[in-house]
Amino acid sequence: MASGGGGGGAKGKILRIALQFLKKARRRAAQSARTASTSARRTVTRTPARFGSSTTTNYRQTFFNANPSARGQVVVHHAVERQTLRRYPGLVSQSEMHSLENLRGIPNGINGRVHLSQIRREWNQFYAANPTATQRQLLDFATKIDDKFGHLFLPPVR
Amino acid sequence: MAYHRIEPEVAGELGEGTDMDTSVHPPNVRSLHYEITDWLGDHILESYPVYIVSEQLAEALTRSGLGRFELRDCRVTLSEEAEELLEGSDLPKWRWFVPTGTAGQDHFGVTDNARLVVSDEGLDVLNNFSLSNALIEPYD
Repeated sequence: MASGGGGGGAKGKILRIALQFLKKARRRAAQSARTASTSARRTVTRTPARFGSSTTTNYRQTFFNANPSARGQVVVHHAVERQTLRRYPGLVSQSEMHSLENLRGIPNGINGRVHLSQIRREWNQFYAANPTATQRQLLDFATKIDDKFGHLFLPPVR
Repeated sequence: MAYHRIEPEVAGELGEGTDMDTSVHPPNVRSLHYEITDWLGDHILESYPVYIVSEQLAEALTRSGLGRFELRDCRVTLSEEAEELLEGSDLPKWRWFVPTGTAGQDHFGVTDNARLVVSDEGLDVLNNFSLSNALIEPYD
């Protein structure tokens, strides 16, 4: 009996250890999943629109040099549109306008073309609402457009 | 009579050949260069604060006898992207459409901010052509 009871105690101890091991394993798995999820979210960062500088006005070349696999698949669009050079003279330089940081690839299928049309319309509304603008306002608006459509771009910016 | 505010398709932008005074608002466009960057097919297009219409629509507007607007010459070109996207498309010729009426009073007018407002009859004329990419809402 004592021996049997002692054997039952040992079994019980083994079971408790096994249960604790399983609980720890579950906690580690859950923690690992949370970390992976956070990491995945972090890969799509919300970078505000900004200008860089470019030594050429051949913006398509600039874009495709940086994104060679997108050649033939996208329309290259300026996040802050080219016509802002004329609408708000002196606000943005040619170097900034055609910099890689200001270029976006819009897939050239019909969906992409419809989205591009929507982007042009939103900028058009901006021009109507803003007789004057600062460079910061232009970039903030480009950021809003990126927030709305950036997941559809190639490469995506959201 | 009911009136409608229309935001036509924005198929491009003011090209570098545009001459305008940006010290006033809406900008005073003296000569127009419209650069098409893509075209989804509508016969009236916008790039604030100007409108262009296809030659066919321009003729229909003239035939309608509805006031008040002017048709002017303008330069319309395609961007590099549009050359690729619209290759093989049959693009119309374009005229600069300048509504000169008062919004909510004339068949074709603009608001203080150069937004296009048309009457029921004016909209009927536009609707005889593709207008599927325009936003149209009641104007009070």
